[in-house]
Amino acid sequence: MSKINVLLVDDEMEFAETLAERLRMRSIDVKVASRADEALTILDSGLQPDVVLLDIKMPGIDGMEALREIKARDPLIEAILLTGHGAAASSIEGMKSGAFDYLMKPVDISELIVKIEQAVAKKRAVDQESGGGSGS
Amino acid sequence: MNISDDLFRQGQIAFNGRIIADATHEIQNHFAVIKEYSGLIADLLQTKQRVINRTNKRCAQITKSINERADRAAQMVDALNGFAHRGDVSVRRFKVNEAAAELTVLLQRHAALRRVALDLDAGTETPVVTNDASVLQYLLFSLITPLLDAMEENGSIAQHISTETSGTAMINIVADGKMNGSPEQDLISSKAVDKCLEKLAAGISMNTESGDHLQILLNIPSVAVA
Repeated sequence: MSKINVLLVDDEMEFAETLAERLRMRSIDVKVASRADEALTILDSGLQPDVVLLDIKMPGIDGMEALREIKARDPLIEAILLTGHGAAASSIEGMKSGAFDYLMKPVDISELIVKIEQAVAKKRAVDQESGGGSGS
Repeated sequence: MNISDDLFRQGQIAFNGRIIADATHEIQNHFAVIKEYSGLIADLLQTKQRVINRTNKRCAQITKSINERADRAAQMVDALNGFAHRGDVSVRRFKVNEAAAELTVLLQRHAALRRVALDLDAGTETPVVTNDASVLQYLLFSLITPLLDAMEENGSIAQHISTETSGTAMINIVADGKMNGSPEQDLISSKAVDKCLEKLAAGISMNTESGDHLQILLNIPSVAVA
């Protein structure tokens, strides 16, 4: 499997930067955005992540709306919701909106890696079937 | 404009739920950061790190951040605990600064989500009143959250507390920033605000000098213990 690209979107920057550092130590490329609109700008600039890790509760555009925007831009991008919200309803709504899965904060890094790898495998399989290959 | 005690109680329970949900969310965030930092230390110690000094320096930074996060989580838990006990006795002597400070800590998450600065200037005075602290917190919540929701990013809400006369406190809430709609009209017609004022025997006045500036002056007296 070629190198995995992840876009991590969370307004809690210490959490995001630390998690990103730990993922990079595991050979995953990570780009961090502190807001949903910043993440959408990054996607519009041409970055093609395999997976977006998305906090649900953020200032401005929240994670649920961001998920719909991301899927509208590229339905093949897989999203894993990260939430400290404790609200199963939001997570289930996210699944209905096309999220691959969700994890509750604090996250377990091993569990997160497994989810990321599963999401990437799904994305790349669909990508190949459709004769694509987004180059990620 | 008046509402029944039952409806008021329902509103107060909803307020408690909202505060607990926001506070526990924020505490969970602190724990999430602490967990990532501790995981990072473990990762750093496991790597074949040849530059020992750099690893040590990074670990020192991380432990400092963990301490800060633990302090913030503890502050939140402390405020939540104080808040939970405010309703134990309805009317008693309490420090207005402390009741307002608790609520300010507990509303920080909401303020941060709105990107609005919410501050409390307790000044040098520590007014003590005999009244219902839980109703005062509900009043402050009912006044501040509509302002937070109406205010655009980078606005500010400051509370200044002083002693008006012995046994009477003055709380001056100053909102500065562009606001959507007319929050002052919503506050004037708020049944929860009205009922809180009645229960506290408190006075209120509002001043809107311009569209971007709103001042609310509260007069919190002492009342007789039932």
